[in-house]
Amino acid sequence: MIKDITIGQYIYKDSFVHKLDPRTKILISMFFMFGIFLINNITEYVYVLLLTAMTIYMSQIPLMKIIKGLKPILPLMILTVIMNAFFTSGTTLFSWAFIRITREGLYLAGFMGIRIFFLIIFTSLLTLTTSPITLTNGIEGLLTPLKKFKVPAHEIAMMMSIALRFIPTLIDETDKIMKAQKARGADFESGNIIKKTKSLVPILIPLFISAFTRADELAMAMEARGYRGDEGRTKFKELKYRLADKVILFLFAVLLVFLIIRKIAL
Amino acid sequence: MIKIIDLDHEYRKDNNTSIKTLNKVNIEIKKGEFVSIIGHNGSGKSTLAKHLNGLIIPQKGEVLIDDIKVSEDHNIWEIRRKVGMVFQNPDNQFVGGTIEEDMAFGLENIGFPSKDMMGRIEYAANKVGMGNFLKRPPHKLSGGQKQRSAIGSVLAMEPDYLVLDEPTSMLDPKGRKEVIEVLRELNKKDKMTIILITHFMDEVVYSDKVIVMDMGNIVLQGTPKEVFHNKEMLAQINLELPKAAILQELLKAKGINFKDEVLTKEDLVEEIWQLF
Amino acid sequence: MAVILENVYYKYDVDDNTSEEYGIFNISMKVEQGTTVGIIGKTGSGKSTLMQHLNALYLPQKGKLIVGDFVIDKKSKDLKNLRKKVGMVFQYPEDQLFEETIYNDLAFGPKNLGLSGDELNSAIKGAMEDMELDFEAMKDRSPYELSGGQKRKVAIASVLAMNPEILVLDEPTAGLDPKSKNDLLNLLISIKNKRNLTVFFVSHNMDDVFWLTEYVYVMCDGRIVLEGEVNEVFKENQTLKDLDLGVPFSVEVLEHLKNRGIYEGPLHPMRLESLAALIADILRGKND
Repeated sequence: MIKDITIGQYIYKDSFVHKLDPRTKILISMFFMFGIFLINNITEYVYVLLLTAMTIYMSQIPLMKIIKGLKPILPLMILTVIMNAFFTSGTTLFSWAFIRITREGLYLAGFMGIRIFFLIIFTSLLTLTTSPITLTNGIEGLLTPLKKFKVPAHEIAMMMSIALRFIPTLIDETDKIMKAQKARGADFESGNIIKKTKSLVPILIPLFISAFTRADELAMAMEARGYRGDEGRTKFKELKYRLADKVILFLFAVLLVFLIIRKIAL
Repeated sequence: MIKIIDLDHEYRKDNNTSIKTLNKVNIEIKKGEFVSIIGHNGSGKSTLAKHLNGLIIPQKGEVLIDDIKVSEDHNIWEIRRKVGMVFQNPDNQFVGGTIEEDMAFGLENIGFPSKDMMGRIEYAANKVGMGNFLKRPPHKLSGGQKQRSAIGSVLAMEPDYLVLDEPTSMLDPKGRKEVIEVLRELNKKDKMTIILITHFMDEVVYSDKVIVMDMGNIVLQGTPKEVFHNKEMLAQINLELPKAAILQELLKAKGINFKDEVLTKEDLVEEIWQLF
Repeated sequence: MAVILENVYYKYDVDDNTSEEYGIFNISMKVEQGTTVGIIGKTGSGKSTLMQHLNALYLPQKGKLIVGDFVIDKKSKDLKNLRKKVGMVFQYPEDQLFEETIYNDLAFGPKNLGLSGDELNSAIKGAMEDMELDFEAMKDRSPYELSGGQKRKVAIASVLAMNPEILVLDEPTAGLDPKSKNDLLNLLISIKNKRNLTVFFVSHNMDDVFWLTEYVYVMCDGRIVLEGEVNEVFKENQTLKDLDLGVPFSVEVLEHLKNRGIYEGPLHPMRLESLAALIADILRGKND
């Protein structure tokens, strides 16, 4: 289960999507996130679905991998749907005791579900097709203009890339520690919330300790390889917008502007 | 040449007690040598290693890398370019998300031109036999592959000296073998100076010089044969001989006289064959 | 406690490496009470998955395990009582320590299983004594202050404190220096005898496997590809090499001698003393 989380995992493929500039991918992911909330009819969601399907196809990432990535987020999706369905006022369709389901509630719930679904897929696609370092290079690139305002763009990017790099390692470690404590009779499933929270202590403490050890050793290894921050640093992969990037960014920007204007106009 | 002169190091455990981890250590390492430093955990060998590229600054005494003083702050970046360092835990020194990114990390730090990086990375990766895995992330590599990449990442920066702090202690026998073979090859073919810190006796038999440490002191120093000849001292500090040497001792006790002392099973079989 | 495995099958959901199958496939074993068996195989051969079935960290998707009186299959419940009987020492077990004192860490397992009072106390004391850790001097110390080797001992003691009847040791000496390694293995042998345990020993070191175990299972790609008495298995040096596994030092030496035409007998693994005697005999026989 814990190993199914796809956010932060990267799969190398030689695809069109992989080759896009990370800044393009980050920007269109953001455009997509905004856009998805500006859409509210089924036909347009079908277009979004087609767009998403096409992107997945072009990325060459196995569909199963993406679907599996949705699994851990499922509870969150269901919760959002239920909340929306129950707590939206409007024309009552069905009621039982204190539960009341409205037509508006159902609509909203459906749309929220669809939105979260697309959001997760698109963000997973971003990380699945962009290696951590490229991704952070992209973030750094986008943040660079802000350096003038003392935004530590490089440091933020470096921290993120290391965090991403260590996600799989820490997931493996959590898995191992969990098993070791289970083998010592630990029970993570039964009991009330307080008991369950308490049962996490034997996992969290070893995990923190190991994370600190790793951080310490990594810092030393980085220093040994001459790391001294931003100063005098070159880049392995220099970012460059190619024609494809420009076209895609333009199209998405136009689409977003259109959606925004429509929203305001209506 | 690396010169370590009267190097002392003390580490403060708490307010009242401090532990002496290095005690008047003197070592000379020539270019192109393969030097092994061996000793148990806590013998001071790792502390010593960390002095070699300024991760620890000498408290007393001096370390000279090609006559450049490690103790002077402004030399530190030059020294880190000259002396590459590989650590024990393969996971905790992997900065990049893939091998090529990790190899690029050091080059980026030293301001290496972007357009030449790929060439350098391919060269280094091929040296350690990882040329076909450049796009692999670390969690899809075996321990031995990770350590070889770590060596490659350091080689990409073209250091003059390569220091390895127990690079094999977390590997399985196959990974250990791979790493040691890479090191021997680098030393033989590229004349790379190698300083290998280890606690495995059978890894030091191929080196030009062995330095045995115990409680912060150098207790023995010389060629592997000279060092292993000193059996009482090794027994005293609880270091075991390589298996082939133990077997030869057992045979000697049975009245078999050998021409030469051996350290590897190949040499032992050769000796036996001569007697046969 | 005896252990029987009948066609145990567990397949992982495959992720991006679509071509490979991960898991264990139709594993059958029969291990008598009190024996020490070795499990060897390269990394990824399914050893760990198999071992984790022994105390139901994984439940078999097909087949079953019989551990003493317990039957484990895909529907098994009440796993705590089973886990009491099967102690698992994972690789780098010191990573699981989390309590402020050694005593409390050792108490974690037994307490989870419902032990308390004098019973708990004596279980902890017994485990520490068996691991040669001074109970009075060490029980209130923090496990984090200890050296690597000592931490490892505490972690193993924390498993022994549950008084298991079966002990699974997954590379218990990984990362230790040679002296600590030998000390720990000697200690584990004496504990095995004292507590009359059934031991599963997973290791990459063939000399250690030869030293500790009586019967060996060789795994590859989730299947048992070779099994037998330790002497018989290590005779198959070519098979073992093909599987990327080593052979004990003695077998390597004998093989070299055989290639030189000095030795003609079987490639049995043996202790260094016996090997020396054998070689001495060969040399004397020749010169007489």
